Amino acid sequence: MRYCCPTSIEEAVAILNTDEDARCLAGGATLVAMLNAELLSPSTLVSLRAIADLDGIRHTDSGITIGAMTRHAVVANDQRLNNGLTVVRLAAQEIGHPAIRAVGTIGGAIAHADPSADYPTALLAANAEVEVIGSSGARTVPAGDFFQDYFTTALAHGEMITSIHLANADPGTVSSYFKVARSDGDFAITSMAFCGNFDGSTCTAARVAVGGCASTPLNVTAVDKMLIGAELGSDQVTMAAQALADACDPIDDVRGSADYRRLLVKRLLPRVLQRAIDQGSN
Amino acid sequence: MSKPQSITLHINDEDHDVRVQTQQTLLSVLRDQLYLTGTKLGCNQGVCGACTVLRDGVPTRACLTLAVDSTTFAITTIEGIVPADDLLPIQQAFIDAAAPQCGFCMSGMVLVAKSLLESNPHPTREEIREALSGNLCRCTGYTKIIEAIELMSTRSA
Amino acid sequence: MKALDGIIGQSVPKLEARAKVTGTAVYTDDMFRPRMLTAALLGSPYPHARILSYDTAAALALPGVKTVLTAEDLPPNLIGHTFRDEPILARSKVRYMGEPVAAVAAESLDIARAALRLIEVEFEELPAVFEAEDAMAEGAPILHEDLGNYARVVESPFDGNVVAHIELETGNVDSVWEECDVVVENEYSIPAAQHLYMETCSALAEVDGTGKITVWSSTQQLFGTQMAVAQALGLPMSKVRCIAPSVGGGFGAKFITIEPITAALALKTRRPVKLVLSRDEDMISMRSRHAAKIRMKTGARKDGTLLARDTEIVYNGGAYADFSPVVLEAGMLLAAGPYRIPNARNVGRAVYTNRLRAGAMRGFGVMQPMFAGESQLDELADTLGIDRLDLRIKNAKQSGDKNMGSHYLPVCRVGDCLASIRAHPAFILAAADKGVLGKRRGIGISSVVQQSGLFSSSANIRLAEDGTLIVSTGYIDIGTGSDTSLAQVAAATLGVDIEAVNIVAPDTDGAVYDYGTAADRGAHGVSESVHRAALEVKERLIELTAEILECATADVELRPGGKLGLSGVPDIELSFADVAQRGLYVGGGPIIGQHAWYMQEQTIDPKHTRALGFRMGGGVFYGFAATAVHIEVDETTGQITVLEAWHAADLGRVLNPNGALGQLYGGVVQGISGALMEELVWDSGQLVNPTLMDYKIANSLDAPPEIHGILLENPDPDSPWGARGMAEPCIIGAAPAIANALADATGVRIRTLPLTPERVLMGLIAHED
Repeated sequence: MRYCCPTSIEEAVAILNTDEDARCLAGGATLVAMLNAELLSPSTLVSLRAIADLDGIRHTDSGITIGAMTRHAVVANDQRLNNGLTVVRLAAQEIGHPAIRAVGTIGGAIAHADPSADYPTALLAANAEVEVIGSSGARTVPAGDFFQDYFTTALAHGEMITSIHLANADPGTVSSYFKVARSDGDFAITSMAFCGNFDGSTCTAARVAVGGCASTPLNVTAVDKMLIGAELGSDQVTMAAQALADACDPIDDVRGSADYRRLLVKRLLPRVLQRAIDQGSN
Repeated sequence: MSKPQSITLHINDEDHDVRVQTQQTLLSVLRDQLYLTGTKLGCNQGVCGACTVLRDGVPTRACLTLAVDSTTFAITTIEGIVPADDLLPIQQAFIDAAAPQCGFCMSGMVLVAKSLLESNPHPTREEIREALSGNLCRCTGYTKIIEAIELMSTRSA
Repeated sequence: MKALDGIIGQSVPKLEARAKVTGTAVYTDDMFRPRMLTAALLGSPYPHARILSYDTAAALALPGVKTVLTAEDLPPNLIGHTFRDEPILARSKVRYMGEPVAAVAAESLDIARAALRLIEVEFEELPAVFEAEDAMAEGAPILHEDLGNYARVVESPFDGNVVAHIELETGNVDSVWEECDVVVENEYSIPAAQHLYMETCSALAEVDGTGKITVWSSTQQLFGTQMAVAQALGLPMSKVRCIAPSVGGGFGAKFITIEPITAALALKTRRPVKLVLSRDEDMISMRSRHAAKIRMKTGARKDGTLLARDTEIVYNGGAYADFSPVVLEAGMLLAAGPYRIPNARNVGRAVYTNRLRAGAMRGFGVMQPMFAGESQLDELADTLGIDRLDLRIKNAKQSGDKNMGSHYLPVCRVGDCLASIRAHPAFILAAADKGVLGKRRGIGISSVVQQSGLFSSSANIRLAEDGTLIVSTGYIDIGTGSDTSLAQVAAATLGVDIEAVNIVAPDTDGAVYDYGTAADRGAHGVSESVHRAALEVKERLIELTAEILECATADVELRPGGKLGLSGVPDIELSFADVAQRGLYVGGGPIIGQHAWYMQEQTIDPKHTRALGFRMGGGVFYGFAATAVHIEVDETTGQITVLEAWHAADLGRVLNPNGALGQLYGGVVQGISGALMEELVWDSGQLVNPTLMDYKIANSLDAPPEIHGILLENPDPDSPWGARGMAEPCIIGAAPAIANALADATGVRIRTLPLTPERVLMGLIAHED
């Protein structure tokens, strides 16, 4: 196994394109665990730690851009991620434990594409865009297209993630994130993220994402539409929750059964809506 | 097996030239090549925290850190936080609160406590529980470890 | 003048604390020997299969591989704690998935692991059985065809897969149901769980020029390990030396683990060999707590007087007998709980299945029926309309009562344990806090009993030239604080400072004898030996002092700080060093005290209890405790949060308060962890969750922020300083207390562990309908 530590994105892309079996090494939180368990043995590890352009959170006119190598702890503490983007900060706070958040990166987390992880669900609700680059140039992939299957992303061979872009939300947008896990800091049995707007307790815009209940985090346009005009506590929310649960395709595993996950989806929707409203009023 | 490569690691204020494989973790180098065995192997998966070291002062899993990727950092292990014949006040607080039981998690716990108290000398119980949450202990129920940190907080008032 | 024994009851810092907080305590994997090899084990891919052939040639040919062993390279010897039914590498067949089939020693772990992949083993798969009920069914696959031929220290019914079968009955259960105004009967289920010590099993073995093998290992049992290594390899014990360095927890699992195979590799290669199991290897191939299915029926009068309890338990023992018969006996002795129940019948079986062997685990044998019994007590109280605490206190056993078998209980303060929690100010507040809609809160209580003490112990104390004490037992401090409390006992008996006591590291070449760190043996049983040996030292000191002072022994007094003097004459004083050196260099000889004893079990009185299949005895000491929790239930998700916990321990007398509290807190949290999230899950014989990612244990945020430890003292007349064990009962009561708190908060009764959010939510939904 070869190790290289490029200092520019171009250099990294060049290596990824000459070595078919090369893998990017970001924070290592997941990749090194997989190396230790002999689940993975790439020919080359391309460490991204020396590429300064990949690190940090930038505020621009169009929104917020989080570099792929930005640590979870940095995202978790960035108060600029508020209103409609609070969901991303809340998700970062829920990842593992302090020592994991100190090294794990947003790019590494979404490249792994574990549907039970915190970021994918939150980024999907926030309608984030994943900026990727390869030998044929840069492109932007919406979060909804980025996660394609269990541990599978839209990254083509030779491509890497450079940043995650979060567009400015409409004024008054609120968001929330809630995870059910067996133990504090564990991966989700089911998680749910919400971004949207309310007029009092009536929802005027919604984007809901569910984690841990399918091969990818799940956003159902029809459910988002059902929520528009729905008042918290109304049958309309119950019906939307049912539709969302019906759209899930969870599995049974040691964290929980598929039935339980569907039940949680139904029951968590009112909670994430309420939390979003509470956040807006604070 | 690929060919080992020579790297220099900065550990406990000393440079160590070692030959390592790419996939070799910092934990493996610390324990098996440098005999810094105070850092423990508990799960090799980043869950238990027994392998905690400080990387530029921040608690980090040595089992999730590749040695080749660690050359730019200052690594501190339990052996390096204080001269061998001395104790840090936080270590004394651990002793006084009877925090160690089997002791296997202790190096990690002490390093996390040290790091927490440096940034927050008077943490609340909630902040302590949060800081320790990535370090598993099966003997103490965490109670006396938390009490040790609270004792230190009182002493530094 | 300060008392000689003033050190008893003091929170003396742990002797090894400094080493542990500085990272300098040495555990097995921290040791390196010149030319040391690293070993790895190949696990079986099938839960039940015949081994047809091996091909190890390719593995042996790999550069750096020094040896590959299979059962064909080893003597056909079997080992085991109760039956000798277990080979150190699978022989002729495998009985659980992951059972070691071959072992490699190589120049590095990478090479050893690579060699494992080159070993070819031809198997013929056999039908397998995983559940105890299925294993007892007619026509079930038989795991041990040779069951009747195994050497054993306990009896077996030799009936298919049944390892042990016990029935105990006191009174006449069937005759009293009609007298009962209320009868509650239910079934309860407890899953297999794991000890999850932080240090995985590890061993280092080395053969010296004389052919003697030294084995360092992470173990709770020094001499048992020595015997197992010798038996397995066909060597006299005189050729095996075992040493326990620092041990990173055990909780009942580290009783003979990988030492024999590590020794075999060292013997074959004549080089030091270290074998350290990875976490998943450890979880797949070491030990679990017994899964159990329990049917229990309890009857009472209207006024709450308990009249009868009928309990039937089946323990899933896994592939080898291990401690199953002992675990079963503990459960059978105590299934009726810490209560006066005149008619009680306990029927139990431990059964072989094609799963990981189940062994002893903290709370052994008793955790399972206590979950059933303490759940059922609340169900009974609610049916009767009697307060749950009142019902327990009303029926609680008292000092001087008898347990099953007519075992005598000299001290029992279980009622006081319950009362002390009831009176605790924080508990009074918690009991009034019912939470809010959607996040309801409740309290739950349990009271428990565990029996302790097992087999033999001994101590040897020599007075060194400078008057300090060299104390040797062979008991292993696996994190319990026993080295410190034993040093306190020695120091108190002779009135010396703790610094004057040297607790000898466990080494079969130096220690006398102790059975092992199990069953709360330390505070009561091993300390008895240390105390008696110290008394012998005292006697010799006084005799020699009397000779020196030319006075009667009755006129010699022991003075604090390691001194002796003439009674009533403060100026006439000798130090222990003076007397020790007189003995060594002038006359009288070295001053040595010794004590050896067998912790005699109580017998079953046939006039009191009818017994079938009960062989070991048990009931050396009994310990009692009560546990309470205040929980919050998230009714949207089913998640339980333990907000606060109480545990009152009836522990005789406290030797070291900080040490006792550390054990208490740890036991309570381990119990909470087990109750909420721990379960080993198998799929067709394969362990599905053998990692800490998939098998969760409580972290600092899962543990309650506040645990109130109550140490109730009432010296035990049979114990030096009145102390007795308290580290087993504290794990037992958490699960039923939480289940009871859930019922208190929501009305939902769950009789299956763990109380996962899923199980709780399904219960809440069923309850609403």
